[in-house]
Amino acid sequence: MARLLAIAVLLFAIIGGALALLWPRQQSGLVLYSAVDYGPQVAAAFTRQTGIPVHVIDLSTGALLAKISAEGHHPAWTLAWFDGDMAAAALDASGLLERHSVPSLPFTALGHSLVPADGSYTPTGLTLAGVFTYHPAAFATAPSRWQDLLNPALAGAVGMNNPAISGPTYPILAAMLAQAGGWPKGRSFVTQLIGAGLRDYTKNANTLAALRSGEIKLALTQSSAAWFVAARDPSLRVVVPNPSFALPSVIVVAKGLSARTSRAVARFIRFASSPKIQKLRMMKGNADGYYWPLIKGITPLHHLPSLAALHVVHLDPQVWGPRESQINAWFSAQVMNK
Amino acid sequence: MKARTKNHLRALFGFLFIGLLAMLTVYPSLRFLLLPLLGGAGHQGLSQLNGVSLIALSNSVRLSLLASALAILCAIPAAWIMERRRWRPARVLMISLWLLFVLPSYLMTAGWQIVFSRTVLAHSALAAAFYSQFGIIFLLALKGMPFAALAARTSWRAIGAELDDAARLLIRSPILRSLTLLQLLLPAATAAFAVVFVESIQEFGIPATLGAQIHLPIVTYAIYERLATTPVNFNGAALLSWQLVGLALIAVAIQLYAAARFGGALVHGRRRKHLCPPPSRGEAGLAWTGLGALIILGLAVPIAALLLAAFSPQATAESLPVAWNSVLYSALYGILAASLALGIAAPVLLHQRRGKGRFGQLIGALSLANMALPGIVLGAAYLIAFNSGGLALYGTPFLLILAYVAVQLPMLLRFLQAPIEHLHRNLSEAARLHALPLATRLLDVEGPLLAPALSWGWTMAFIQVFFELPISELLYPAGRAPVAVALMWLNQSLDYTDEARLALLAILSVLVIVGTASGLLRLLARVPLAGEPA
Repeated sequence: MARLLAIAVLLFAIIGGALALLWPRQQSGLVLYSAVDYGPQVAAAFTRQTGIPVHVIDLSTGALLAKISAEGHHPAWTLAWFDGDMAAAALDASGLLERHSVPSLPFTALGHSLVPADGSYTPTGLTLAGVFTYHPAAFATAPSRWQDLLNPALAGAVGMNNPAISGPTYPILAAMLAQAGGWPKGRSFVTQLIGAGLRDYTKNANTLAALRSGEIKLALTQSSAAWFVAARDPSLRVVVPNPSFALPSVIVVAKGLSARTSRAVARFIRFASSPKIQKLRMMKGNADGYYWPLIKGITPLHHLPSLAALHVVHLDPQVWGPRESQINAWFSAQVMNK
Repeated sequence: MKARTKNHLRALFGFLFIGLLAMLTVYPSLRFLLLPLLGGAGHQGLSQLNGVSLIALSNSVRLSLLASALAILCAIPAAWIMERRRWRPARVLMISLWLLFVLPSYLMTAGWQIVFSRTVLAHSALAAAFYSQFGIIFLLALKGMPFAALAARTSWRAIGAELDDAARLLIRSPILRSLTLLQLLLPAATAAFAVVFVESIQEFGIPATLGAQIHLPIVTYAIYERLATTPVNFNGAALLSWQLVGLALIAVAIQLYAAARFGGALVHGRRRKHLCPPPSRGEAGLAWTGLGALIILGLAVPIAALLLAAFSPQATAESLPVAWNSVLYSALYGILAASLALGIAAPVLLHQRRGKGRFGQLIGALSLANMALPGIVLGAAYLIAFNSGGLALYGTPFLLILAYVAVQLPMLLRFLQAPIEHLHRNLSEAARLHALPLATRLLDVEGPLLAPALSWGWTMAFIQVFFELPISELLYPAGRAPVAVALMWLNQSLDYTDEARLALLAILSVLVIVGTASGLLRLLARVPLAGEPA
């Protein structure tokens, strides 16, 4: 009997220990789903200043959006921070976001224009959906317009991310379609680009690595990733095409929070937009730190050109957000058929 | 009176188990699969079955058919050499097939991806072939080999020596003779083909790695995409799942037809065992080539590539965060799910041993039906069924563990059925007559006899849960991702160095845990020999 008891105690200890380690703990404070590099640093600074704990869960943009969608009306998160207002608009359309959650902030004119009418997400910084990165030695005349991508000299030498895998790539695809006449008219431009041997890689880092290894001559990526790599490799140049397309980072808030949590969330958003923390985001944010602030009186990192010199177009996220699955599926089918 | 109460308790136990199985599989599956018909979750009905879904279906069928054919063609001679010749390395072949069965498909794919990421090979014709449909067929066929070889081996064993002798006497032409004997293998070959085909169409790891990279739509990954991109498309995922289930049913129907049409009783009273001669030089040469190819292509190259990558410097400029703690979470999920599944399966089989009837048949049918349900469909079903009302378990570790149990339970019921049924209850009853206490009866009579099977079953369940991918991708709790999800994230970011390091840590952890568990079990279930203190 003693042995039986010993076995039972051993099994109980193993299973009980495993259960104790996995048992969900009641999270006091905020739960932040973060797909931006600076998320953990901002959260830590917020906790230091306010005493409100923030449990940060790092996810890729795609995984973050999938988790929020799957959790549906039983969110385990309180706020989420990622790149792409189109995705935020799609989540809002599914009724998963708290509306009127944008606190009063000194937005720039561009910042104001990016705030949705229903206040379902707060824009926290601006990047561009698709910029060209290249080695200057590879071209006599640098490509500067979207149509230049169809130049025969670039056949088989343009690379971008796979939108089925990389979360922030859909806006690049939407941008390409929009500059060529919208959906479905702009399909011919993308089809021609694919026909000319467009290469696709999984993520920004891989596309830019292919450029540095000489596998491609031009990388079409999110601006933050491009300038981050160019800042470390002076042999690379970044060109913003005309027109360029806005890809803002946003904070969204889960629906149905208590009044107390909502107050803490608003405090977090204001904190994340404060000048001191924007500086922290730029300095500690790796690639994601290369963004243009949307709050008055804050200057971006010196590598970035002045926004005033760029022709930035903002695609309506309410229109382009819900098209994501359809356009990604169409793109995959085109790549397969090439 | 006492006997009646006992009977009632037994019946109650049976009902409880059936209720549990229904809750684990029938309810979520039906709730998910009936979604397009019943509406809800953005109901758009059959309009979701678009061109891309049909391309995915056609790709899945074509690739799986070709991979199954390739696996069968290789497996029949492999099984023949194991059953019909006294070939010493046959044991190595069997171990290789087991290792191939256990090695997760996404790790095998990652190994080959690492090989073709090397500058020397990156632009070669071989790399071009690998990053195409041929690569997927090759990997699916390798993963199908263990199933095919096992099925073919059973059939070769069933064809007794007397049939060979009769064929030698009656059929002069050696070719015709071989063809006649091969005809006897047809039902088994069809069964093996059906199993490999079903395994291939349900495979998720290869489509999620290689398939996603080359933009080849395949049904399992297409289901995942419907659930992992915004806006989520539950109806589209359910319709695609119907395709998978339908294909599995068609494969089973064809196999049943072949068994009825070409089958025959091979095992009879006059059956003689084969006296296996050593292989001829030509046969041995071919067997060595086959064994070498299997080990090199299926195990050595992928594992060596992972090892090399793990000890290479980081290739990408920006290093990604690696979820090393995912190994701990997978270990915890594995320990809990394997123990829970074993804790349900063993008492149910012991209960069933007392009297076979409708209960036994029902268990058999339910466990078979559950085995036909692919992991990705079960994961999607759990996502829908346990995400609302009083059953809002999504996002907790418990739902993930429940789903793992639902997958492992049928496998354990099938696997443990024979060892438990073979253990005659008279053993325990005789011990009781000799007034041995329950602890002694359990630990010293039944325990040692069942320990190897229980240990093997737990180990298989633990390893499969540890490396499980499709359910993990859909149901993992945020911040507590299992190792398969972490590996997939690194693979899709092409960060092979960190992926290889994490994979090796995971494999080492599995070896340590399995070793410790089986050591403990051996220690506890040791039978004291005469004269030895108990």
